[in-house]
Amino acid sequence: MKEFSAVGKRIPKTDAPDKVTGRATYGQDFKLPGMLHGAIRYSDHAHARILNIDTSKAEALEGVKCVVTADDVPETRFGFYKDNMPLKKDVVRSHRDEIAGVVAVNEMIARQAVKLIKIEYEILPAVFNVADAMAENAPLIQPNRDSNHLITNTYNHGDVEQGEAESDVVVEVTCKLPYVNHASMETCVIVAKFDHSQNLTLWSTTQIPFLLQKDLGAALGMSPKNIRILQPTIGGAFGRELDIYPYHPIAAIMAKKAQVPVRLCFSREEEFRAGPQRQPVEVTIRAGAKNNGDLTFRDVSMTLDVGAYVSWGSTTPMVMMETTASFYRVPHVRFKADCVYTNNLITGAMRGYGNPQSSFYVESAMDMLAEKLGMDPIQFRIQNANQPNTITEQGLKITSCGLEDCLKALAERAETKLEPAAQPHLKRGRGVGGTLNVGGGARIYRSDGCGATVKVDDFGHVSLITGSTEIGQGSETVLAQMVAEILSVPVDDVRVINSDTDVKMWDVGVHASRTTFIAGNAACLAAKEALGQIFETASELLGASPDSLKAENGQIIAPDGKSVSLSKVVRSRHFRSGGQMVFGQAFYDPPTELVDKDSYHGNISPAYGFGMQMADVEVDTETGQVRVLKLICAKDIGRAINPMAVEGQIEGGAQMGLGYALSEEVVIKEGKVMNPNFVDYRLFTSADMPEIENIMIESNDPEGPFGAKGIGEMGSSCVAAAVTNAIYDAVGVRLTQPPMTPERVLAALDTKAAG
Amino acid sequence: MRDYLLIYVNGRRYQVSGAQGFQSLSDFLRYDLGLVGTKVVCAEGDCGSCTVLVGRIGLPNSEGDSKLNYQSINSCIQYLYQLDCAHIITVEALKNKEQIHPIQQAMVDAMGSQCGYCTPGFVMSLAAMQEKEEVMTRKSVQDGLTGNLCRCTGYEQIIDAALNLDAKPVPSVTENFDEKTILSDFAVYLTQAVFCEFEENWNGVARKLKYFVPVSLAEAVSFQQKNDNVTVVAGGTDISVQINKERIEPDCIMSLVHLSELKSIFVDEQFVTVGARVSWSELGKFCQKNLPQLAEIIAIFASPQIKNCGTLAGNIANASPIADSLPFLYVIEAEVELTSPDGVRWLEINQFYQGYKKLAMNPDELITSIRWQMQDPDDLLKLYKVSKRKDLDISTFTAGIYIKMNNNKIQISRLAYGGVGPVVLRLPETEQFLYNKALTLETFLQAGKIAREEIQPISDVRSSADYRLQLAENILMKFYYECCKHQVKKA
Ligand SMILES: Cc1cc2nc3c(=O)[nH]c(=O)nc-3n(C[C@H](O)[C@H](O)[C@H](O)COP(=O)(O)OP(=O)(O)OC[C@H]3O[C@@H](n4cnc5c(N)ncnc54)[C@H](O)[C@@H]3O)c2cc1C
Ligand code: FES
Ligand code: FES
Repeated sequence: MKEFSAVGKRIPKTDAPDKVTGRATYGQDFKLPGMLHGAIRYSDHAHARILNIDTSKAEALEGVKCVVTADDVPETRFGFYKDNMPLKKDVVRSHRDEIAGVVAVNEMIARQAVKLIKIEYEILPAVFNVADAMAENAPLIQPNRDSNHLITNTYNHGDVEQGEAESDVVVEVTCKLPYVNHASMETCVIVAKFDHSQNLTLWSTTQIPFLLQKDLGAALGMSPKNIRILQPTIGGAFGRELDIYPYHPIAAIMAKKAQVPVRLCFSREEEFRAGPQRQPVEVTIRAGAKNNGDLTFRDVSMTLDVGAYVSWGSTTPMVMMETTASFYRVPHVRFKADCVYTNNLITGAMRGYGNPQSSFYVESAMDMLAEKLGMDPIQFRIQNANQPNTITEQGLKITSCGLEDCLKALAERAETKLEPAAQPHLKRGRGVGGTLNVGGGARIYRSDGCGATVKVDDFGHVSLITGSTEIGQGSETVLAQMVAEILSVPVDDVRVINSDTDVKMWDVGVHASRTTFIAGNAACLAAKEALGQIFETASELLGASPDSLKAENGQIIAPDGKSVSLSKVVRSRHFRSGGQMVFGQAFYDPPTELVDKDSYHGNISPAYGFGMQMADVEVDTETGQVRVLKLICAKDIGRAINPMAVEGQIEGGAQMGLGYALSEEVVIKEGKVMNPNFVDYRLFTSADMPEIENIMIESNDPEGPFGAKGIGEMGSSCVAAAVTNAIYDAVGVRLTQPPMTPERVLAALDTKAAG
Repeated sequence: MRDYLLIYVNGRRYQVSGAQGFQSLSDFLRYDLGLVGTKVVCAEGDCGSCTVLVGRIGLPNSEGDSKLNYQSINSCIQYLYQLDCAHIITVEALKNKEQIHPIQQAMVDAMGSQCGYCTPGFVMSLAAMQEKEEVMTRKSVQDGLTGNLCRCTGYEQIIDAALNLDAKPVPSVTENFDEKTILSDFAVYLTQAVFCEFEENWNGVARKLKYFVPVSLAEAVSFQQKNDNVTVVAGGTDISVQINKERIEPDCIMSLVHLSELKSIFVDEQFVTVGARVSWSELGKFCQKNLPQLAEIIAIFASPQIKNCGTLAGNIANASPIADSLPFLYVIEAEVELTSPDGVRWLEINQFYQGYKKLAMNPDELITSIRWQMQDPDDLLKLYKVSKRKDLDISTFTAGIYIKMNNNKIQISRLAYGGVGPVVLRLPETEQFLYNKALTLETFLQAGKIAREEIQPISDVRSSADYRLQLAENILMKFYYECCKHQVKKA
């Protein structure tokens, strides 16, 4: 295999020096001349009719510039089901509903003023769980619908009844998965500014600049062509910004009325109350296997609480469907998901997008089956593992597939048995859990593409202008590595430009672990085109044919050893009569399809990634506290473009997954968040983290750039599954409701002791 | 008396007075000075993104020279009136001559920064560890960083950065500054109390505010007597959170930061006496040698940044029923020293609380120290803190168990539970039951059943009443497994 110069290297992130010295400028750090500050007034009730809004006191407060309400905007609707509006006029449907906004000289005054807005309500009956929302005569949340039932996603292959009849063992478990929050360190922030010609510029932490441009146009009743979106350095997102939420248009409405730039910045509490959450799911899985260990069937039904408005997050059942239908080989599968409106929190996309949920119930059932069969859980999984170059019943074209290698790596580690704990009330156990993730984007939109331009300037400096977005995951570095590899220049010579919709080409957004794969392929194609131009000119200079040339260390070298520098080639091409610049362009849209809208069959990703984790835990049977001692992560990543970045994704995912497993839950009571802060919403700290071992399986994907597949989400997806299986191994109780807090563990132990 | 605060930031001198002194350090840095490298993520001490170093004059060495001792703090919950005569160092000034600082370079090299929003905070926490010349082991780094949250990295690469660092000598951050000038400036100003009074006029309403930073206990006590509604600030780790969250709006602040009389721990034959200004970090260090059980709790108490500021006295006066110090103080039967213009009195902690956040303390009294009797090393003492996470987590339930044996029988037992009622509770019936019993499994099984009957906890967002009841019972079993089994074997 060819030795690479940049790809596969442990290269520090290109933006790191600015971040460690405090120089990187985030949305919360910069000011525009004349900029004012906004704050939003939310609803006081989960469901109510607005009778009157009195803004006079707020307007009169010293330092307030203006107040905005629904009267300041044309009546527009936006969102995945066009059920949301920027500011609510007649009815509020959840505690986070935006009613008005204040613009003031500083944030403190804006927040004070918001409290002075007097709103009269007529309280309406509200529903806070799926069952109540589905009941006959339930209060209707969205007026244009017949019921609160939004949609049912169903999927089938084979014949589940036949599968069950063929089974020697059958298990069933019901799991309840919680609301969790992205908890990015930077909260949502947006700055909006109108120019004299009413063009809108937004500085936003969005993950979907181009879709936001379009959706915002709809929400504001203006043409997207008059909207420009700039992305400052983003302090984490994890799916939070994968959609338009009311605060985006509200910022613009404020800026328009105030006629100066306005910044809207969420407090941590607001982030918990008004931001989207991962949706809670209640799911029952029935699954079977034969005595020889072959899986026979899976039958899954679930309900999802989407809140009062629908976001892209409502498409997560399609991801859960994928795991249910295609993770391990199962001949008969039935899946049904009901999405239901309630007066609860708005839910949205979050890292893993349905995978943490589906991994939890599928892998719980897998362990239950293995136990009934008396089989080793890892061997049982190996026997049923997906294989390379197969097509699943759902139509997923699995090309590269390292699942079996991941499992074998864990089996090898499992040969070292766990040491028992020193004291009788501490019990240790080990469990595994896995996940199937899309490895190269997911076509959930009409295009899953990304555009790229690579230009080389007269000084040999390379710019990659990419449609993709950096949210901290390291895409700038990894893309620069790929371009540097192709052009054979140092990584430092490549600058990535990715933050302006007026400059960069279209991209669907940063999600579905797609950037390395999709933006990477686009960047590689563009770089290759640029290289072709370089070779064309160099061949004239060196008197050798273009295909005999090679690039090395910023030099173009002919077979006879003669060479010319890259910058000289560019200048020679540029400064001549009829001169040309070096620039390559590409738009890469993967060879995939939207799923069939009724059967949900179809190949949505050009590659699939697989991951398995093994957790060793210690359970204190007196307090219920669970400590994770060790986490081994075996991941099929195609190829590591930058192994250090891959480790960062897996370990960061582990932190999020461990929180999901053990400590994180947004607690709500009648639609209101009870723990909107880091005191009561517990993220794992450094001291809580177990030792992590990374095993990277390089399955070299045929379609991926340099063989790479996506890895951004996989790290967080299967931790909770591994932990629950490990707890079972330790103390013989099966926990079905993350987070598996000390309280829940102890209650389960008590129930078991009571018989 | 001065009417301004003297604060150095990154080697530059600032005189701050009036309303400007009545703001958090993070606001001062970000808005007044434009030092936006310091991030604010939670504004309540939980995340550490706002971590900076604060240097204060330490005790003189044998040659009589003082130097600035640097520690990490959360700038979001330190108000400027707590920072008189302090030198603040932010991430912008952390360099090695004109080069990037080795800590920053290590973070770059190990990819310790992804989105980077938490990064300045981690860099400053590591700098604080370096200043204290802590040896970097995986464990010490994990513990040293408990006050910093990161959502991106899973901490591993940050830990790697710290471990790589240990191999190289790292220059002290102070080398970038003219410390002599700062020290001599402070030496002069530290002899003068600060008093600032100002009027805030906003929206047609005038509010009078003042803050006072006394340099002697006498000044402090007399100020408290002459003024109504004085809000005393020790480390500010409770009070400033309440201000940030708009739960309180104090208009008269007294900061105890300069009361050197209250900064010592005395040990004599009879008592350990801890001054009201002793920080948790200092107390932790002391306990490591002298009181390992309390050291264990302090190790998992909050975070280094909080412990560098917060005090035992503040923990007691804040009167939370889940305050981590209380079960210990209850079972050790500690006494609180209260000082007023009329003099000093000692009050046993078991008499100190009269109800939820109701103290047996007069408005003109200050807590000046806390003392307890030295224990026999053979006595059994164990303290518990149950929470979802290991560190920096508010407890769901706390417990202190103390047992003195005589002839293999329990002679004295004291049990105190927190988080099971409006105040920390002693369990007289269980204690009675344990009298004269042997340390057997059966004893503790039965004791657990009685303990359960003695409390009536409530449900809240952290846990249900049932769980707390169960813990009340189980914690005695845990105590048995951890302490007694092995004790019985030894005997
Ligand atoms: C992130 C975070 C984590 C925390 N973790 C824990 C934890 O794990 N366990 C725990 O128990 N607590 C915890 N706390 C709470 C807090 O840190 C402790 O209660 C601390 O001991 C308070 O001390 P302080 O000096 O900062 O008090 P301050 O905030 O200065 O004061 C607290 C109260 O005491 C009064 N007071 C202070 N000193 C005196 C005095 N000398 N005389 C009279 N009144 C006085 C003040 O007026 C105020 O009412 C945490 C706080 C934060 C922000
Ligand atoms: S901002 Fe979170 S600790 Fe200060
Ligand atoms: S690097 Fe993003 S929060 Fe730490």
